[in-house]
Amino acid sequence: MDKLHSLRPVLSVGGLSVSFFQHTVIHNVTMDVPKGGIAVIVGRSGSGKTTLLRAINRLNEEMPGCRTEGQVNLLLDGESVAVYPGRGERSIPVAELRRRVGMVFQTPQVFPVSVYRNLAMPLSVAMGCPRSELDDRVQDALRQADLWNEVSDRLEMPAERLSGGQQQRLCLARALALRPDMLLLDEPTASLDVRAARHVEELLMSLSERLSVIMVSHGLAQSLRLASFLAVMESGTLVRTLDEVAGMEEKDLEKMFEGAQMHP
Amino acid sequence: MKHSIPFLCFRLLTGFSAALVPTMVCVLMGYLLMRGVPVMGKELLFGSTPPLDAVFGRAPVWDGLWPACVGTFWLVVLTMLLALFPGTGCGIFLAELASPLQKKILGAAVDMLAGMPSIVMGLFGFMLILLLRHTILPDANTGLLLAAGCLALLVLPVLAASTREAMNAVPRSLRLAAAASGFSRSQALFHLFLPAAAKGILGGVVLAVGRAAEDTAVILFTGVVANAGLPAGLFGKFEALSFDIYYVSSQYQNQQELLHGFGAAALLLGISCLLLAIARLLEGSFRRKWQGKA
Repeated sequence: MDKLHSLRPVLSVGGLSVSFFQHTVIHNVTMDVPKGGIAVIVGRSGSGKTTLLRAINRLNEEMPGCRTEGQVNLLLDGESVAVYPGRGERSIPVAELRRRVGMVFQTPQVFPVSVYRNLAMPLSVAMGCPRSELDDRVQDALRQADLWNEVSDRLEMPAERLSGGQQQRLCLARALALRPDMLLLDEPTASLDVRAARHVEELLMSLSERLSVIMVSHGLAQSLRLASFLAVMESGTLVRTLDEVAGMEEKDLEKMFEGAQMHP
Repeated sequence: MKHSIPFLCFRLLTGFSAALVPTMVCVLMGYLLMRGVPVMGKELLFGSTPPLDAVFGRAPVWDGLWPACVGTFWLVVLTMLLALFPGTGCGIFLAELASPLQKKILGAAVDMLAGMPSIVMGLFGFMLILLLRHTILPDANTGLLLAAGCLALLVLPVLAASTREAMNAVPRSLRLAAAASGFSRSQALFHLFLPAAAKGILGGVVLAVGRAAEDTAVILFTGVVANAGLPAGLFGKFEALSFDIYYVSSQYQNQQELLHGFGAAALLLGISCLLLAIARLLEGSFRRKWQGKA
């Protein structure tokens, strides 16, 4: 049974198209992402990778004029859940979906409250976590994001005063505090310096051992470093998926982009 | 880096404009305080009535400003009670929930109300009383509640527009982050967006309080009198500092009376500052509670 589970894709996308005000951003994307490791969606700016990522937790719907067609299925707790359910399919409330599929954005999006409240607020408000458990869960999440040692004596401090790298790890901790089954990361190291970026990368590698991680990147080197599964996007379409990137070099990836531009 | 002459001129002009505002504030307040503060004292407030008797309403105050201070205070409080919820509610609806068509229609109504001269609003209140007298309420008369109602109409668009702007200023990135953390729309609104916009909303409240405290045209038609004593109730006549200033400055017969007018102006400034300070304190304590550890 376990083997059967490990064979089932953690994310299955079928014929997915997303448009904003009739302008198609991604067109007919179909792919299966296997369980384990970090799945990286790579592509140039404007290739639709962020939109694809946001289709997984229905975040595109927060933008005006969005229309989504096609299917997205997630493996949550061993069960397949339709993100955009058709008739008779098991549906999941959107708030619950977003709690179980955590997200970290390109630039750190801390809430304008204290470090502690950044984690405690979603826990108590969105999840209804009892007050007595808050302290433990906040501490646990901050440890997982490797931030506890740096902020344990400054929990009351406004989160905006943390450094960029710390803010991004705080956002990661905020997502982890909700104990998600999957993490979506939208170029999480793009706004960080090299050292902070490496720190986050190491963290993601260790997190990927126990939960599914899907990440968008436009850095070829980073994609090759982290990916166990690679999806290449270009002009809103999926050009290629790779289950194995070992031995590949940046120039091989670049060739894929060039090939995609010549034969869109 | 060398700047061109037009740019330098522009910089000079903007610098001058920026300096003009604080200068005018200092000149105005300085002049007002210079003339008003020397006459400040027990006598200005209570006349010849013992202060405690005046405060508790045991004896009438004939030649002091105390009844006008109390009248202005209740007028502002009542106005804000009537206008605060509809004003901010309308702003929140406009920013968060309205469809594009509703935004267009409601926005135009708010702008139109904002452009309405206050004298028209006063006249509207007066006509309303006349209508009531001729129809269902023959005993209806102008009074504190009517004045506060008309003032509430006057400050409503100020509150609605500032709330709308404050809510619109909540960055989209914060909205996305809240949604991605599993907040429902109402949870995000009450726990994140409204507190984040509180400072801007407070700005509107301060403007509205100032407007309600200073406006004379509205209350002129709706119940203010020169000598009424302490307000007798919601439907009674009342005195107000703004009207006192207007009355004294147009009718004064000697220097002493004019100085009383300056005293009243300084007092009005003091009351406005007090209300502003209370609003800031409330916002500060709320902000600390929201931002800090729960």
